[in-house]
Amino acid sequence: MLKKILSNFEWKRSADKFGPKRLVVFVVNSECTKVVVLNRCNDKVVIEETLMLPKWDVENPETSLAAFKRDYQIDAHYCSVVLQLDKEQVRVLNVPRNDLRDNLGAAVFELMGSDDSQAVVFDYDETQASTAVVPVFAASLPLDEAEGFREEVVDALMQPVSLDLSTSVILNFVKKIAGGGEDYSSFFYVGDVSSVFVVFRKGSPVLVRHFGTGYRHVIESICQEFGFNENMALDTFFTNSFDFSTSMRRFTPWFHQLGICMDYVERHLHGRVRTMNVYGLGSRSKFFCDSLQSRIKREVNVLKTSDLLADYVEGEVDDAQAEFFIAIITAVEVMLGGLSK
Amino acid sequence: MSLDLSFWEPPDWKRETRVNPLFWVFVAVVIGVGGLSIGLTVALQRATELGAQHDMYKIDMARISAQYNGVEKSKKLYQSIEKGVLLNLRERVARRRAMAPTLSKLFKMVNDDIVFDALSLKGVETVGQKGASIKSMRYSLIVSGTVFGTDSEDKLSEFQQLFKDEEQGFGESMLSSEVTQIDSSGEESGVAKTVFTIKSEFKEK
Repeated sequence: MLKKILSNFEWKRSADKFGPKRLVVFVVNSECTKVVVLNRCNDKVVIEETLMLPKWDVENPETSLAAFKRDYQIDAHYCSVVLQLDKEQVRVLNVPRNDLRDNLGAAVFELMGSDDSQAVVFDYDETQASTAVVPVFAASLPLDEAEGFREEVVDALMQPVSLDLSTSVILNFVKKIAGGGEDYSSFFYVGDVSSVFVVFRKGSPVLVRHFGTGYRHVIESICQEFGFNENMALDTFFTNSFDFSTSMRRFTPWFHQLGICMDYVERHLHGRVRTMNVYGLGSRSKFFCDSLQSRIKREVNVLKTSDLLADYVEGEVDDAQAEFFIAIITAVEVMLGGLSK
Repeated sequence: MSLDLSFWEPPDWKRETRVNPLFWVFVAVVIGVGGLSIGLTVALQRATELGAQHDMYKIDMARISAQYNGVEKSKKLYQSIEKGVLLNLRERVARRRAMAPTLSKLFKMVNDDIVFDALSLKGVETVGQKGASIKSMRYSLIVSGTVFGTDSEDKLSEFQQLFKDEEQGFGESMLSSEVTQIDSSGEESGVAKTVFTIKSEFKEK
């Protein structure tokens, strides 16, 4: 009780009118929980701490947020959560402009096929609102899940800031780095357990696709096929010292889906995607990029994580921190979002 | 512009923004300590001041009680009162009586042309020497009257000289003498009149 009263005192917090000065981000996926604590320093953020914790299970009190906070001494008042689900519902909906003002919420609900048990959020780029069909981005999540995480955060005496799906986080980040310029450009994020494919047309995303497959799954299959342990598989995967083309056959559907997306852009939107920008920790493997290039028959351009984050993060981003890519860019969005306004 | 696809409402950062309350606590402590120290300094200063005053005007109760309780002391007090008040009064009356013949003798010697209208003699008590039981007296004499005849100034100066005379008048004990001629008229009709007032002061012989 006393703790709850004390938590209401403002001196425990650290925020100004632009946003929090200190933030902890939890990336929750089916295997583990990634935690990053960041501080804001002028117009950049400083990575203070990165942690890899067991899976955050709402049912199990030992792996609740309050337990994590206590056991690992996570010291921050503001908390953001990113959900990395196997099946994420983030879509681009083409809504006629007439629907924008009247009843956009109902239209989005209908197009997403959601019922009352789902929480749906949507947003659209107002600069695109002059066209006849406006791309509206919508994400949905079971309502009790969103509320459950919120309660967890409040129980851990933290202030909830944002709950995002990893796809929408990636979408926002790619929107920043894509810019205008070319007609069509595509970005493929290869994370550990998920990957996101976004196609841009003149600085606005036209296609968003989420895959529940990441480089971790590739490594699992390598372990199974060659009998490596995990560390060895990781080493060989990233140092490009071994040919894994046989084990990559399992992931043919993954690359095939990417090809379908490319085709969709060509047939329906009448544009050609010439290069694919690949980033994320999975793109560090030359072997992976080569096999991707041979599959989709497009030029593959590898973007370095440290270069991507150089504008926002103070200091170098090393390999270990690149794994926390989604957490870092979520924090960047929350902490530096207010400064740019 | 980034898309807002968060399922939670972000906190209102303006409401979260406040001056750190620790700062106000610090300010309050500084003011409190400062006020206390000033107050204590003033109180101490006042106390020492009062103590010094108390020492200066200390009333020796032991002495006073001894003085009032003892029979001899009360006798002495009575004597001092008798000496200072009653005897003094008697002596003053006696002195005035003694002065009266001198005055009446003086007025007989005055020129016939001077007619007195009024005379007042007042004893004004002066502060005498410290420790003297009877204080020396000072008198003020105001005489007003009319001078008949033409040479009124000569007659009046003659009258004043008479007062200052060593043997019959007051002599050196006369302190001052001032003549005020109020009106002089009737020179044309043959009977000249001058109304005058003389204020003079003298101490006892």
